[in-house]
Amino acid sequence: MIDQESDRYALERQVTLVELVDRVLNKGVVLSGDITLSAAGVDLVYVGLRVLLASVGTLDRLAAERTAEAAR
Amino acid sequence: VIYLYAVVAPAAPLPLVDGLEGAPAGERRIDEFAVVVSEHESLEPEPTEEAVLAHATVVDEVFRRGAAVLPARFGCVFADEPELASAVRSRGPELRRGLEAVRDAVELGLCVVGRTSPPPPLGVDGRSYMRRRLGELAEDDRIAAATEPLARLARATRRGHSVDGAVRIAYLVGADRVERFREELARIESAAPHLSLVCTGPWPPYSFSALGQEEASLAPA
Repeated sequence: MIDQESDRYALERQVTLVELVDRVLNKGVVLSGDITLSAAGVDLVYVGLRVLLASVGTLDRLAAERTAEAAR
Repeated sequence: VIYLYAVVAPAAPLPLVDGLEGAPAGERRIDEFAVVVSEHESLEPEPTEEAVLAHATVVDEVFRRGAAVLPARFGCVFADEPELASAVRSRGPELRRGLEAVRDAVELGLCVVGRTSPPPPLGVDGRSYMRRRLGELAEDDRIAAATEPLARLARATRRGHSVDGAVRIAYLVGADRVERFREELARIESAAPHLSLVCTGPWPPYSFSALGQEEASLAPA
């Protein structure tokens, strides 16, 4: 169980990193006309959000199954 | 050159914090606004992980003081102070409205996918594209319906998709409603086992800082 919680925490951290990078690079106010960034220049590890979230879902399902088993 | 981190309503002094390339971030007054900046001999901001984190850290420190803040997008560089001042003054009314809109609020992020959603296709033929797209549209509807109570708690909402199709929603939530938001989210999570949700934040209001075109959708609380 502890492993599953730490797995979920690790996944949430990865989601948070993706969310952070997207906010800093793509949102926010632009006051100067000479922002010269292109997405191609971003050499950060962009993990697929869908894959991360699907993993979170799998962990939750396993946790729910175990809870159900324990209750039997 | 001058690198911009945020436009803020003047507040308590900024704590010492390092910005890009270790340069100290400081605050300047421009009319009724304050800007948080760092000075550099020369700078061509590259979006490395280190630089992005440095930018985000400065914005976070500013945000934690509690005053209204509009985070700047990564990479805003000005030749000198007059150029920065004139950029701020030329957007004065929009900045004022923007700061008013985010006052006493935080941004919360939600990433959602349906658990039954199809995996990304390996090839793209017309038929599998259309099927997949229909599936995504149906999933979007289900997600919108499930998260509707969250939108009602928010001052404003922005919806988008990640490149791989996960639904991403940003909520601007009054600081006094964050607890209720989290309670509602927990309720939704247990009531909708077909969705995978991850909530992130509170963030400074990055997604609610764009000026101009998006203001019309900022509904009152």
